Amino acid sequence: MVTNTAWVMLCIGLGFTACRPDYARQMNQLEGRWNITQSVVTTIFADGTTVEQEYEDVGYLEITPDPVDIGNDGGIKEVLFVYDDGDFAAGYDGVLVNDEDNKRLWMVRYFCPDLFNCDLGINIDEDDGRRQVWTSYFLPGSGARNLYSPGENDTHVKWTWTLRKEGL
Amino acid sequence: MKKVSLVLFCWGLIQVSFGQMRGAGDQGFIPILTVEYGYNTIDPQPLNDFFNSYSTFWGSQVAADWQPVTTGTLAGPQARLGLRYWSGTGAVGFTAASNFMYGYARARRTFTFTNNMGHDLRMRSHNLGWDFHLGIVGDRWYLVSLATAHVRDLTLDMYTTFPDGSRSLGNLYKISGIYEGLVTTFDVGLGVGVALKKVNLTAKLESPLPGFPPARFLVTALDYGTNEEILDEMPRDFVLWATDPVEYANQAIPEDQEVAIVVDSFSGLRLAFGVEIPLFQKYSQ
Repeated sequence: MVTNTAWVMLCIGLGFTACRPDYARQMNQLEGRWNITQSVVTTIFADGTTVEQEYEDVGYLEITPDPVDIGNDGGIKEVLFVYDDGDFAAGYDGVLVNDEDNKRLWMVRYFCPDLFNCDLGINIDEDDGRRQVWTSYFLPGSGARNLYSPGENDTHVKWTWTLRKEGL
Repeated sequence: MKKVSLVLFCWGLIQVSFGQMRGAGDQGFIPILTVEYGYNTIDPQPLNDFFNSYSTFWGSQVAADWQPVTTGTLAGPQARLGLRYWSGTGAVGFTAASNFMYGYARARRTFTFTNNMGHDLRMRSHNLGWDFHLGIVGDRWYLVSLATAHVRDLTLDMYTTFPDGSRSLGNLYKISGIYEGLVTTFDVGLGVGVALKKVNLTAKLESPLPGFPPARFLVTALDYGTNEEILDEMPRDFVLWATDPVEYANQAIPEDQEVAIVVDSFSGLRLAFGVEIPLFQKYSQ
């Protein structure tokens, strides 16, 4: 009886472990150099129509362990972002974090040095080992963040990166 | 690790399924699997207050309003795995049981602006419980008192949707995000079982003990990154949240439940109907 009860307990525990997301593992798998093999800038209009501009091989992200990631078990990384598609260039050397569901990433203080409202939020649309698709959204001609007015802006820009990891 | 855990989990189930259990005859321990539909009620008012204040704030720019939530919005299937002690036949006997419970429920609400922007709110709850039964058993029935420790992992995915069908959890608009909170309750109630061939049909009614655990009514649905630097709170009063963040914060500190979505509102009476299946043998009847 004791043995069977122990098995039941073990099964429940293992089942729960199997379902638990491991955000630190996901972040550790991001370590390395990711080439931005494709960048798509999509302008979205209120009637649902879109205009796309595609660019190839426009830069890279170099993701490395953060030396001050105390107590986060690898959940925080350093990131070097270099981008130039000929029409637009950007760069960032800072901190990358994710959420516990591994659905989003943030480049912390991308837009400004303040504590709040300065991060670039990124959606992880596809996570397929050595290939990732990330998207972020903007207002045209603006890096504006944290707005309250989705009902007032008729045009938006969706920025999609397709990333491939360098190496084997 | 995830795949290894799944393999071990399945192997463990096989071990249980073919294990030798006492209990053949009129008494003993019987491993049981209970499959149920859980009507886990919530207090719909805080979320509906958010919906109403959001619509009020946007006024004429609203094209399709939120559909209100109800007490049964987060009802869903659940399963229990455990042991039942069974003693006596014919005359009234004694029964006791303990189970681990897991349940899952989800719901969705949408909102559209006149410029075809919008929101897609996806609610998900994972429910874990550990229950204890103690009661009496007759020839073809049992009646038990229940005590259950519950943990509900609640997630509210608030997407911003775009006219081309794209959707984002990112921070272009502040309200977007993944708001999470743990609801912990200790419930007491009653359960009945009626034998039907080799299984029991069961019904359970439980209610959370008020005020236990202490201060659970202060836990709000928060959006945060793993560095815990990015913080947002799911507002109950959107107008105040959007127009006066300082006053919102001032009010949120002493009385969160007045202006924020408090996860305790996602708990309430629990009613469950199901089938209790003995895993290795039929109940003695």
